Amino acid sequence: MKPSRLVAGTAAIAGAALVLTGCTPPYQYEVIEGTEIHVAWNDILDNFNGSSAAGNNVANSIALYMTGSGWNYYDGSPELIKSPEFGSYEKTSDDPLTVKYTINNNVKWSDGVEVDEADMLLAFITGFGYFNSTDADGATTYLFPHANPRPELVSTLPEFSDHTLTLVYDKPYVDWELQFAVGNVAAHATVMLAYPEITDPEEAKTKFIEAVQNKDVSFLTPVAQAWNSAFQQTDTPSNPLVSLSYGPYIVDELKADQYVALKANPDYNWGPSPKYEKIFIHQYTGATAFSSSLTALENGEIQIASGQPTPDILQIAQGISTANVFSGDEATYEHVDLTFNNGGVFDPAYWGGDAAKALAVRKAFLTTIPRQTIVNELIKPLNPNAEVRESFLVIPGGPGYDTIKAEAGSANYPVAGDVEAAKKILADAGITERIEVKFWYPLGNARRASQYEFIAQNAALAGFDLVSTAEPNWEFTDTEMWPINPHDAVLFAWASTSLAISGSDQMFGTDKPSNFGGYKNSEVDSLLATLEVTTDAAEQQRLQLEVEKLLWADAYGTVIFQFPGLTVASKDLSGVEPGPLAPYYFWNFWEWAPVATAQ
Amino acid sequence: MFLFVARRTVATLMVLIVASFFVYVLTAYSGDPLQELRLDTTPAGIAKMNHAIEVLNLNTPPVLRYFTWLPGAMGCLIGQCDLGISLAKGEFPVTMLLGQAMGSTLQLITLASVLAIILGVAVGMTTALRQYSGYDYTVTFFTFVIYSLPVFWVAVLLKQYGAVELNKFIENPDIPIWLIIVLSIFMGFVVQAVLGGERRQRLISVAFGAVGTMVVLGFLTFTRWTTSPSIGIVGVALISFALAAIVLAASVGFSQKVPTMIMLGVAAFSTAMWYPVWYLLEVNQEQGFLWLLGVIIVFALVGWALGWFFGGEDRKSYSKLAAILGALTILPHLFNLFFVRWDNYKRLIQIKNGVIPTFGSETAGLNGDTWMGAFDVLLHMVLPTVALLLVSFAGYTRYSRASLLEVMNQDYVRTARAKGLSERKVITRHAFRNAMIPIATIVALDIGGLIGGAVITEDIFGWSGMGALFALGLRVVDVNLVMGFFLVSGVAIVIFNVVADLIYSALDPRIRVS
Amino acid sequence: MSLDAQGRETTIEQEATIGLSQGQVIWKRFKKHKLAVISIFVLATTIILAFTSVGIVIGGNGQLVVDKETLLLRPDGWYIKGWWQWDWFTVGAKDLVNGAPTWNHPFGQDDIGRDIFARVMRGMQQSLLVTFIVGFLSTAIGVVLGSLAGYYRKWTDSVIMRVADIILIVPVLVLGAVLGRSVGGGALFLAIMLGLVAWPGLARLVRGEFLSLREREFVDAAVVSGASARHIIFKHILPNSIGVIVVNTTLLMSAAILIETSLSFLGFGITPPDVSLGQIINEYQTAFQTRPWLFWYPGLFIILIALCINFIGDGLRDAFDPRQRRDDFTKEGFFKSLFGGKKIEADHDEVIVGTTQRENI
Repeated sequence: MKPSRLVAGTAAIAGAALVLTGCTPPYQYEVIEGTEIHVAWNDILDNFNGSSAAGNNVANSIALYMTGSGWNYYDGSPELIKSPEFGSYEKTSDDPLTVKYTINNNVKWSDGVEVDEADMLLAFITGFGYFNSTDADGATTYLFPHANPRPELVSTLPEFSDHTLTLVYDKPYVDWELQFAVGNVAAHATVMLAYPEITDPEEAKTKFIEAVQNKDVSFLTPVAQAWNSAFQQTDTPSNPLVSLSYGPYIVDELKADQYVALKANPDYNWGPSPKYEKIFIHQYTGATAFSSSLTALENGEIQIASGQPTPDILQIAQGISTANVFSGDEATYEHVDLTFNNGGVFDPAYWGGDAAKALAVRKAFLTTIPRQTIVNELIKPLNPNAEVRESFLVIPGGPGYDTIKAEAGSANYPVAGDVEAAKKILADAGITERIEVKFWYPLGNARRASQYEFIAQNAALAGFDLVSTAEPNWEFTDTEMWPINPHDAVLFAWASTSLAISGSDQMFGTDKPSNFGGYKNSEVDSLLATLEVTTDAAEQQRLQLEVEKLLWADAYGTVIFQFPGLTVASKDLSGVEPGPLAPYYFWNFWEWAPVATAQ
Repeated sequence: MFLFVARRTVATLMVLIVASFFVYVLTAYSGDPLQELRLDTTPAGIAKMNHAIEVLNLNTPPVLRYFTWLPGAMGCLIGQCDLGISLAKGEFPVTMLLGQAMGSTLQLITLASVLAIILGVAVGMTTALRQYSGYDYTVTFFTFVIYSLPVFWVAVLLKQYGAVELNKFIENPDIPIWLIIVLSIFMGFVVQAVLGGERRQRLISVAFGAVGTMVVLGFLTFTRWTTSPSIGIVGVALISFALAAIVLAASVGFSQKVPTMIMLGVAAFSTAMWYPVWYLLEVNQEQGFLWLLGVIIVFALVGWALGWFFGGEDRKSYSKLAAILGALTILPHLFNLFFVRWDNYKRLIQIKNGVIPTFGSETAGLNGDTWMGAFDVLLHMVLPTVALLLVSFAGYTRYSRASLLEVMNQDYVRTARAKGLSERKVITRHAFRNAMIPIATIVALDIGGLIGGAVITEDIFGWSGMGALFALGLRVVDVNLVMGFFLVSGVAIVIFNVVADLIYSALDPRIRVS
Repeated sequence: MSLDAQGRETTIEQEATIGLSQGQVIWKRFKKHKLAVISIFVLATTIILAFTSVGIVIGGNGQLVVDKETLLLRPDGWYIKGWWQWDWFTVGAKDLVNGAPTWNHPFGQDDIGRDIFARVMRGMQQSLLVTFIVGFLSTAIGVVLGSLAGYYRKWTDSVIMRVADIILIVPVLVLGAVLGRSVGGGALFLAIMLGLVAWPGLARLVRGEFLSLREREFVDAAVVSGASARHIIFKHILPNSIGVIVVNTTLLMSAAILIETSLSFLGFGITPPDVSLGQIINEYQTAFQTRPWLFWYPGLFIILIALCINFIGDGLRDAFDPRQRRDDFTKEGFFKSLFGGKKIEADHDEVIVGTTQRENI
């Protein structure tokens, strides 16, 4: 039904106001009958298990976000918000790090079976790779092919009882709040899919728990197979066990490469009630996905579209009189890294081991980069609120960003790109010759080609001759091919997928796989190592600030901008509030509500 | 003949194996399938990368990896295909993905190809008959323009004017009177340019064309027909008789009484069947398409019978023509069925104005009956079909024009003329059939190529067929996916190559396959 | 019909061409196709415009480098400036906020103030380069291999045709992807690679021509008189199939420009900072409603080039085909035949007389 032909929404809500549960606040069933919303995404659901290696991708996580629940989620800020209606978790001890998870009693799978400790146990043995074996070569294989098993974090089977489970970490872990979630597959469903002869859910759960406790691998092997492959589906699954939901929506229909239809879960009362009876996620993919989805939005086929804008796309979006436009940051950010160990101009070895000279050259080069011009010319037309990013570790608006911006020392690299200051730095270091910089950016990307132009032009004025070593294959990231990065400077982007703090060491730690510039600073290494095992938020921020100070002082590189994102939503609905992290504009889907139009 | 096919089969297999090796290695070296994953430095990203390396066997060099792929592909010869899994498509087996994509591609290209062939041949041959006339120059010019258009450029325009603007028109069909007059005069000139003739005949053509256009446009705008179109018995009658006129015009002309009466009879029968057909198809929706097929057969049989019993000496050709007309006259009935559902359909879909969608191959969650579903699919096919149509239409126009010109200069056409046959008979009996021989082979070759899908059209109109699969595979360097595509499209091309040779030798007795 | 000097019968067609060389005959016929003649002039103008206006770059890697003297960026390689005041790579201030056309920048400017006329001209250079190199290379290869296959037949034919099959079924896009990503998309290299794989169609056609022509009497005569295979191929058979070759070449050339465009659309073509028409269109395909000058100009120039080549091909086809005449043998019309079958039969002789008379024009 077309939203424009809705009966005013409030009347329909009234009858459903009386469902009370033990939790605060009283749950109100606000689903409006006959309403539906169509949104565009570049891919749709193809796996009901978003934790397996095959199913772990953004498209699956979005649909499964709506069919599942959790102890916390990111809001649009992005900030981690807890969901007490679903359950609770608390850190009961810092040493050893112990976390107790509880699920409320009213939380049920869509077949009526309670979500309880069996499901948490399944999530544990899969997510923490509890059943694994290491062969002679040191390669570890896991019984359950989870996308990211972490046996090193928790190696002991947790205590569990009625609706609770207590994880005891082997060592403190910085991102403990993000590490554990129930996932999307029910323990009883997985067992019953593996053993069709078991028809009683409770029996399935009991057998599963016993098998885990007894380490009965022969019982669990078929379960692991089912866990991995039974949930792979391109069309509506014939077995309802596959598509069980414990979230606000249930997958109603799945059509390969076309759309997934979700309908409101009538039993859901452990979180805010959604308003739409049905949500359709349409697959808009390919080179023209975003402009296609905007045309479709203008045509009324869909109500929400998002993607990376071009100036024209933004203008088209603004020109759709029936739509609201949300410009904002994405989590991906553009940066320039310098190479410290390839014998190039940023390597002390080039200057006969004179580290101070190399530092001056790095500083001078970074000082010339006209970051503000790049943002003004290339990003502001896409996101009027865009600013130069000033932190390596923290997303703008994230915890501690403002302190880092103010104190970490990025101010030494003026955003405008100061040619005179750069000349002075070089002169002070006694460097008079012109300096040749091998500069790489991914060939084929028009925006980066333009950035190169801005950077090269400004650097030329200060005495740097940039030589483009652009190629399209990112060959330097293949450390087998290039153990040492051949380029002096590289321009590309890092993608953040969460606010997780762990992982920074991969880029800045000595000899870590993503440290392509060969940066070495033992102080940074130890700070990052401490950070990994720090669970206190204030202490985390302090450590991050210290790391940032060192990175800027060493002239590690520079950060330029957050990628601009654009979400366009029809005025037929309210409540859209896009966020920079997965699940992007879906994070508050329950707040989407039809705007009643005058009849 | 058998030897030819056998020899070609063996050669084809060799060609396929060699080519598949090249494609495999080239694709594998075209980029880094892990590029995206390398930029995710979280433990999850690293785990994903290791998983991809393991699943895709990336530590083996592509040249050797090909030989782990080949046995699975060779299995296709004995019906046990194993083309590996596609990492980009959720680790599903490539064979399954190919099955889905092929269905979707065939659905899209069939209609587009049929329309392109019919229209292309019709326009091409009429331009050949009027070579170097204003009509010929105009058509030549526009076909070349169409032929020169980048397809995605066309797609942008199509979406804007073929969907968004057209939808607005459907919702609010106001044509200013001055525009009606201009269009009518224009159409009058078009009609006379196509039909040609002497001055008096041309004037009649102009008048017919202009008045006809004016009536149609006036009807559209004053009754606001497009807001809730219907056909009814009047529409069925009009369209049936119009079809009869077209079939007559394209075959024997109106000058002879017998065929004219037979065709009128078929059209009258179709009109009379308005209610029964509607009733039958409405009631039997369960096996709707079977019933539809049944009705088509009955219509064709009735046409054939009319031709046979009243055709006199020429009963053989008349009964064939009448049968074709009979089958064609199902069209107004079908649209009648669709248009009855128009208002309901519009209520169910999301599109604000009008009914023409810009993306996808069906409306999600449309709770309609069989005919509404069919209507929905047809509407989704409008834009991509027009895009594909434009591209191949231009080609067919040129080919058939050239082919007919060639034939018209042949001695046997002169002979036919010399023995006193009417120009119409010379064309329909002698020239047309021979001109179709090269067209038939071109069609066969084209179909072979089309099974590979239309990469760009599918991409832009959200049609998840073979082309889209291929483009995805290339973009993310998913070798298995690309190879799956290549096998299907490559096999189709070589098979239809052989078919083209066979058609040629079958139609043209001078040529022997050996 | 009449008798010529040697007393042989000549047809009317021959009479019209007596005393002219083959080239003159073809040119005489070609001139009648007005659109083709216009196209030649338009294409020539376009080529001159494209290569003189913004200058050319010889050699280089397609990237921008810092000029040691001016400290400004310029293309790598030997860069000769043209007469147009702007170049295609320098960013600058925009005359109007959205970069709309002004007197200063007649085709407008892009996001960062580059002149669109200069970009379109540079793009045309690349697209023309691709077009002509593909046309030349594939024709050369296709003619030679097609001739060999058709003349020698047997295993030569088999080998060449199977190689052609292999190249035919390897999707162009796969090649484009490999090229685009591994070499970084220089126009020259792209053109050469496309040329190396675009010949199978032509080779088939030439082979077909050879298969039928080599059975003709004049070939037998040449063989009997002891002519070498090379002589027979190049002096006797090839000139007779020149029409097919020329026409196919023009078709290939207009296809090449569109293939380059499609490759760019899918991200595999010529890459920034260098420019091709396809790449500009691709980059600004969404500009259709907002900044139409970015959408229309490059598109119109692609159409212009492809259109000119197609018309020239059409003109050549008519010119090379000796059976083609500008006859309006059916001018009496379809119309008449619809409504007055009997009358047309009566008119029939007149129609034929009419056509024969027109041939002398």
